[in-house]
Amino acid sequence: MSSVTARFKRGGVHPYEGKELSAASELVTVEVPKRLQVPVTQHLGKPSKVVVEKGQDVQVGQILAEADGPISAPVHSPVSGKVLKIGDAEIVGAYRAPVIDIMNDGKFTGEEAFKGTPVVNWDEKGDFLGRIRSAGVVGLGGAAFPTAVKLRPPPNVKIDHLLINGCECEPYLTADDILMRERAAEVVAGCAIMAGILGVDRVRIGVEVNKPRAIEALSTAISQQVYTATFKGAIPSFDIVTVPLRTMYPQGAEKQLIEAITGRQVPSGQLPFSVGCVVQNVGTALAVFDAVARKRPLFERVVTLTGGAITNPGNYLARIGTPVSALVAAAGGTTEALAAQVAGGPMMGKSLRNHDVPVVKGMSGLLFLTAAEAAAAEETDCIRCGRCVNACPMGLAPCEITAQADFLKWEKSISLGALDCVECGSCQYVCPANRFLVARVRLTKFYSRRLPK
Amino acid sequence: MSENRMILQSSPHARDRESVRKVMYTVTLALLPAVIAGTVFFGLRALLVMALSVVACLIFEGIAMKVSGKPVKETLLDGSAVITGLLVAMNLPSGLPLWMVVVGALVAIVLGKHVYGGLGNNPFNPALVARVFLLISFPTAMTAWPVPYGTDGVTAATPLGVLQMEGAAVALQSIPYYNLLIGNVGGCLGETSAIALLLGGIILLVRKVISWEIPVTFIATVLVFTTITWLVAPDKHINPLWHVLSGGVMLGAWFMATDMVTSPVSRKGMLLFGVGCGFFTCIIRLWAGYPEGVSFAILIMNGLVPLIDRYLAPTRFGARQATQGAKA
Amino acid sequence: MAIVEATLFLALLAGLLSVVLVFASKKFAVEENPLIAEVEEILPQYNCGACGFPGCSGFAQHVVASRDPNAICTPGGSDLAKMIAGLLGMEVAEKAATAAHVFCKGSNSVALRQGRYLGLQDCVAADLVTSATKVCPSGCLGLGSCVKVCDFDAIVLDDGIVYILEDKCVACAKCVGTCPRSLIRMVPMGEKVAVECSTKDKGATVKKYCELGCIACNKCVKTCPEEAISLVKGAITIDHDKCVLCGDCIPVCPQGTILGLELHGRVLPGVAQAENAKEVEA
Repeated sequence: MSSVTARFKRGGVHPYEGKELSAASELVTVEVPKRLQVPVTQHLGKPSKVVVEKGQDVQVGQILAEADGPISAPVHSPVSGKVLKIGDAEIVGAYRAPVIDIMNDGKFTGEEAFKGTPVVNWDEKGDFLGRIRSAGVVGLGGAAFPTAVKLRPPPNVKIDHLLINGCECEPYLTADDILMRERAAEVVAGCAIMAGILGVDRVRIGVEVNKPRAIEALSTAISQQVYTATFKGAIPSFDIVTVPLRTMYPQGAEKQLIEAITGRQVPSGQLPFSVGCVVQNVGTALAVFDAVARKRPLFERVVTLTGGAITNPGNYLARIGTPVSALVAAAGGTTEALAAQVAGGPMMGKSLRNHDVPVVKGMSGLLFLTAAEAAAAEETDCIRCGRCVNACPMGLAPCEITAQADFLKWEKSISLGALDCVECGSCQYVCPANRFLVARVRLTKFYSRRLPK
Repeated sequence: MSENRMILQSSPHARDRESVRKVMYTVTLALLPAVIAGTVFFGLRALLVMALSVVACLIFEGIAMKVSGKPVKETLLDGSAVITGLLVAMNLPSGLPLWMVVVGALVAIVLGKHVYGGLGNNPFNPALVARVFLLISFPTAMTAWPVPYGTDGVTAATPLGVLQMEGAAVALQSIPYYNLLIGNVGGCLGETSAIALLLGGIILLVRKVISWEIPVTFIATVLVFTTITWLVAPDKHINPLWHVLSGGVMLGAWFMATDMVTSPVSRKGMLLFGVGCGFFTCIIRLWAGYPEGVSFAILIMNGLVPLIDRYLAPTRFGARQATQGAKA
Repeated sequence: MAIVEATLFLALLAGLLSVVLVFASKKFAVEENPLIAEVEEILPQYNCGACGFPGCSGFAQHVVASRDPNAICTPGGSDLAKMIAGLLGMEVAEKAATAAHVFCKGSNSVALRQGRYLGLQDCVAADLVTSATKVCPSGCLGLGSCVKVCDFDAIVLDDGIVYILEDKCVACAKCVGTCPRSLIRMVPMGEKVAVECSTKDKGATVKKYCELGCIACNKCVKTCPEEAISLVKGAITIDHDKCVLCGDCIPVCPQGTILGLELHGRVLPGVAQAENAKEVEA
């Protein structure tokens, strides 16, 4: 099978997968802690507006902060209880961000409303997009872009493909894998809903071949029409296919996935719309299903806790706002060998300083790495071996771009394509001189905004 | 004041296990067959030249680093100076006076590498800079080729020398292909054994230290070019196989032109680089005063690398015009 | 004979080419306002770009062409501005000389550090990894990005914090845009009573990670006789127009965040008091 499976055309690397660490174990539900910190803004776009007050009682699924403007998303209460305070706290990627502290009363008032039998009534199709928006669904692959925005392309473009990203090309992470395996029918139903909204019939679910059980579960759900069990009304016809893809990083990068499945290349600086595609993550598809069929807002997600320095690696279902420390406790704590911790995958994740930060919608995994896994190394001089050039999926020459950055020549660095870089990290992964290529590209991007001379 | 010792870094947090040191020592390993072949054919004297060149290169490297304020301990043994030393020696006749070997090492390390800022910054292959320097400075010593298995002081022309002086017919008759293949002919101590060099090249390819583009296009260009001249004037020019197996083509294509620092970084650039090396080699061999042109060809192409990298940069993703979707 | 031929030939060639050169220099001569050269002559020739023009010659051309009184060569200061004005016969806008100043004193010995930052040794890169070197989110990262851009060696990195050497600073302001945390600002020379901290955190939090951090206790606000100090959005701010450099705020600051050191050779009375108090205690 591997010889015929599709992949993106250029570059890419194949790091140690490490999926076996966390893939085998069952999904564990993390006990909801007494106190949660829900960040006000958990998406890419305009910050949300807080609509609750200090001391106010809230229910599960109640809106804490509403969308402000078209490219924004609301945030819902993951528990019932009292708003303790509205203030600032550290979250992943920001030292200080507005958060809403909630004291959990342990009653989960209001959660019953989302536990009824799911129904997707296609006669209410016009209502679907609104439900997705008000459920606060954002891209769960990591970027956290509001899903409803992506499902409403500008009027002048024609969309002919809905691509579902089940690649999970980041090593170690298995959160999407477990969803595809255990909730395949709902994932596919979510895909169908999105296809219905977009008015396309062609849905392609791309999954890397290192997840055979996920591919099988999805294919079964599609071929035996399991996913239509909850459908009612005038069901449109769908052409849903699972596409096995070669295990190759960054297969799940948006532009690479589009190329792998459709053969089209999104031009530099443009969106997938420009080639008639919409890409959504499998986790997002499930959240869409929950939003439409259960009217359930997004207030929990699966987080992979893995790495050589966590006692019980696996997948953990946690409410948004749960501190990382609670997840670590649920996974049996970290071991002595802990040398580095990362929020996200090893290729694009962010270093984590402590366990105080809360789970957010875009948090796909937490890595607890040993010194050997973290692979920190001193950088040496570039020997111009060209490995980075061959690894770059965007067709750039990272060594040349970063050499310019070293001389503070930002314009030259930009003219060599620094702004096209997706920061996938493939170049730095293969660099024998251990050069900090991605960081230098980020410098260029930083200065391109700050010094517009 | 400090708290925990958690590693903080920007992504990616994973690396493959390759390092500059590993790359360099793989190249050294790949040179081993040729080292053995050189020792077999040219005796212990060849081994002495190689050892001296490596040691001299290491010493000069250490001094150069100290002078330029670089960390000597960490990088002296990264293997790059060892390779330079070996390659300098392989490009010398085994009977060269030892002090000239030391001069060669000095030129390679200081003039070839450190005046430009050290590893990674030199535009020209240091070993070739040394070879050409010696060839121009000491033409007699640098063209006194000891006979394989011969005693000290007995010299003979290289196959290409024979070809230039006495013509294709004599060369074909006096030097059998078998000798060219295993290296039982006169020449630089590391360049004669095509089979040993090929073996080393295969090691480099398998270990992915080099990619196929440069050696394959280099050799293919020599083959194609000399096939044409051979077909046009078979009595004047010798056949392409003889060209490829003789002289420094094998050493040049597998070990000298593929030097990472002085070759292009993109695949397209590498293809052009290989073609250029082959082309200039043939031009010099067939029509210039020197019987062999590999060193000059590679140096010429080294000089063109910045230009090649600029104009043959990899095709950027999305550079293909907006495709079907936009039209649809 | 050959040598005569060669000599003749070369002489002939030289003669011909010199004719061509003379012709070209006459034919393609560019008329330039001699004032430009005169102005350029007195410019500092740093080519620092602080004026916003490509180098000193660019500035000279602009000034001569536009007679723009607001075009100022910062390194040259008001003296140079007067000289240029004299040359061009125009009025100049008075502008106080400034120097860059780092609003953080959180060296490694006073600020809490956390973790081992093993990424690119550059402040911007480190800032993208949340608080990679010090816990303080608004402190100097201590990796010297500003040192790299300074063309005048006016910035020194020591013990995890940068200092500006005022005698070397030409106020080109390149470092200002480089600091990812905007800790460097231009301040008027001689108005150097400064709150040497840029934190936005609450006092209790600041105390956890920095010995010299401002805790916004308001003592200086109450002490200032000129009401030049105020608490704006949680940050203590000094209004330099009102400040009379009495230095009374310096000894009352419990954290030692407000510093006012020698200003043009004179020690502020407040500093002297504090020193005396210390001596008395000892």
